[in-house]
Amino acid sequence: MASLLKVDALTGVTTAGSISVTGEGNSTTTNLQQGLAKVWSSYAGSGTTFRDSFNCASATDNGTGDYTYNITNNFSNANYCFVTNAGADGGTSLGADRLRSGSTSAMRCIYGYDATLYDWPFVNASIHGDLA
Amino acid sequence: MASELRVNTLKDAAGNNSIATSMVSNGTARAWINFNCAAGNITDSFAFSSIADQAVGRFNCTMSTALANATYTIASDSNYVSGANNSISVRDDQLTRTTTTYQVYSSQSNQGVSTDSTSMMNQICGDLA
Repeated sequence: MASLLKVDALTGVTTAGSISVTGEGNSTTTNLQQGLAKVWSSYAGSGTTFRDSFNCASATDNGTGDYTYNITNNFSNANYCFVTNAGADGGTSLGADRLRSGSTSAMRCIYGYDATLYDWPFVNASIHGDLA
Repeated sequence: MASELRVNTLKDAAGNNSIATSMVSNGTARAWINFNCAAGNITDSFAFSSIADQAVGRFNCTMSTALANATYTIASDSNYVSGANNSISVRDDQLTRTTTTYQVYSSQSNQGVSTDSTSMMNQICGDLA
């Protein structure tokens, strides 16, 4: 029978920040909170706002190909897993990137190609880690 | 006391923002890791058991919970402190994947030189066993 749960918040019973979810194969469980993306964003390569985002307060444009993501709810530490990529301008150069520096509330990244900083029009990022 | 809730759909209390629990399960990362290639240690992770240094910039990563198959996705990125504009390319590399282990390789994108990043980061999505 189909079922529906209406709720605004989910909290673990034994540990508030730990809820197990059964996997697709029905034999393994995973930690819901640990697996959730805590931040994601789609950025146009300039300006202070995002095309779309989750848990992002604003962007800082530090110059060509150099941006800072300012997030809304901070991480508990800066050991998060940050993944980003950029591209889609119709040319032949390959987008490259790296995390330049990161704190619990902001991540500064650079984007470019062949060691040349560049404002790619599609800049995507997501972060997994521990929220404060 | 531990408890188990069996439900097909989640909504907020107002009845909005409906999401199937299958979407929650499928959309949740199965594992993520941040590790220091140079030091050879894991900085932080979820559902990883170990890393093994194979060569400069090349690591085998082993997850603690097996996935159902080896067709999972690996999203990778890295940090590198030397050279202001040196970006890093990270690729899924060489080793035949298993349900628990894969290999990643990082190099400076402008030079093609193998690089031990100070912060290699991978996110894994796929089906759990």
